[in-house]
Amino acid sequence: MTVSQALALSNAVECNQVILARASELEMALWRDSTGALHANQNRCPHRGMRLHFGFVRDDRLNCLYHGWSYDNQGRCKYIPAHPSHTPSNVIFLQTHGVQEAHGVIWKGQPPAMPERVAAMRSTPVRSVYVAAALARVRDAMSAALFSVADALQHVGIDDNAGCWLPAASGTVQYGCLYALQDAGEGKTGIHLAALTSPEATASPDWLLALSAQLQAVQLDVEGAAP
Amino acid sequence: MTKTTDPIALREWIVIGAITDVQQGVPYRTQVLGQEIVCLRDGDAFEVREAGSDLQPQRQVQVRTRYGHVWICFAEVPRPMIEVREFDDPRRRMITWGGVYVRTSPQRLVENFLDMGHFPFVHTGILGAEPVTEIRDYKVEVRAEDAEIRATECMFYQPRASMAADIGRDTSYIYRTSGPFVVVLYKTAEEEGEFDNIGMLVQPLDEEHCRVFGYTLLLEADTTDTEALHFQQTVFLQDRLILEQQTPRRIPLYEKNEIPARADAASIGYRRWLRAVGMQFGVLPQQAKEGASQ
Repeated sequence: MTVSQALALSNAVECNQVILARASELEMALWRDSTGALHANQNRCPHRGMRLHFGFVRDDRLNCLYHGWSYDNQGRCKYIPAHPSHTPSNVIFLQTHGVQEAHGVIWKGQPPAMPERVAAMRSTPVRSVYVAAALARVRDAMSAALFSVADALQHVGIDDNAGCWLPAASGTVQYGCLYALQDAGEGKTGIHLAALTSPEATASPDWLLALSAQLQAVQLDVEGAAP
Repeated sequence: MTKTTDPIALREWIVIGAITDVQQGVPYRTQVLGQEIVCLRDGDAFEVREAGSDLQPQRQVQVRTRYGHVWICFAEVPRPMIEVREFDDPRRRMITWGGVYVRTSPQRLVENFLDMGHFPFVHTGILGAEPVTEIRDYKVEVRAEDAEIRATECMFYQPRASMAADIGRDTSYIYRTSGPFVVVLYKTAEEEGEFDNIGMLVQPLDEEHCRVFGYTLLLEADTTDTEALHFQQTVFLQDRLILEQQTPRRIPLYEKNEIPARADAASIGYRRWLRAVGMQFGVLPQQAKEGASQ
């Protein structure tokens, strides 16, 4: 079974911006063009090895900060500023990675298949934290009672790296949350948390604050525990 | 790390500090090519020894002072130091930059210093600015007998080439790379027909960590030392951001790892020379694959 790999919350990268995204041993430059479409490339310019997330997005291309080499959304080098009238060789390109956005989270590859109830709910990004703990430890914490913000919620696993807290099917409560875990490498795990509400409702400030506080509590608990 | 065994690195004169950094009677401890050393000053006499794991002084190494800095060499027969005649010019005054710690290999630092292509992007509004990004062809000559790579006829438009510049102008550069750790450049000065002289002197602590020293020989009477130093530090700190984000830190010498453009002729010449002499220190082993450090 393939396991989902979250990279960030949707609101972590705006149009015409680039950020660093990690998936275990892999570093990516994750960027959004002017239309809002997401792209992920190897985080290393093949010219002189510069990390591309330090670069800039302009005219729907990712540009290296060091010498301005410019890459299109297929990863092909289209322009070398030192030689404006020269067409770059097609051997100069960036490896690209598939990314998708769903339920307020950016996923490497496919998003996980959501339970039907969740798929119908509205998702609002809350907060991401990076904790100094292994994935398994964080997985346990996020599915444990520790995270039961409201007593009316119960844990519903989606896959090894994602899950929800949802109201009992018969209850009147109409809110919950979705979490997605990221192996961020170097012993760190990312937790990306989104609030879930019924499609017509927006998440209340109280609920957003409660979720944010709960995430902080998990971080303190996990990092405080003996390795 | 222990002291490197690379003879190409060991035969070099290497800067360990500005002369004024080493105080009388106070042991000055630092690291060169992986080896801890200690320098003692008595008047204008300097003595440098390797330090053991207990930091006790051991084998004595050669030391000399020149160009405002203290230099050492581990080998018995050092490769001769670069000759910079401008130091004999009484109209010029020298400022030293102070040591800046940078997490990268000495060769990445040298290449950055040789490179004009980054001026509009890294030193925006100072040494370059879009849309003037084109690098016109220039000449590169490898003088193997002197371990010198010389890049000449380099021209670049600069909005503010120095502290004394108040308008943009075409600036002409000549670069002289001397061995793996030293680069001296000449660039058009504000005074008609004159060239400023600037040198970067890299102290490799180990393969991936350096301290960078340097000097500027100023002709500009209207610029204070402090102003010139601030200008230099502004520019260099912009470079450091880049240098610490290049992967891998050790320099790859093969084009399958990093693809150059024609504008990189000076860097190509430098890498070719590093390959020709078989340099190992600070160099990515050949079998390492693209992206292995990601």
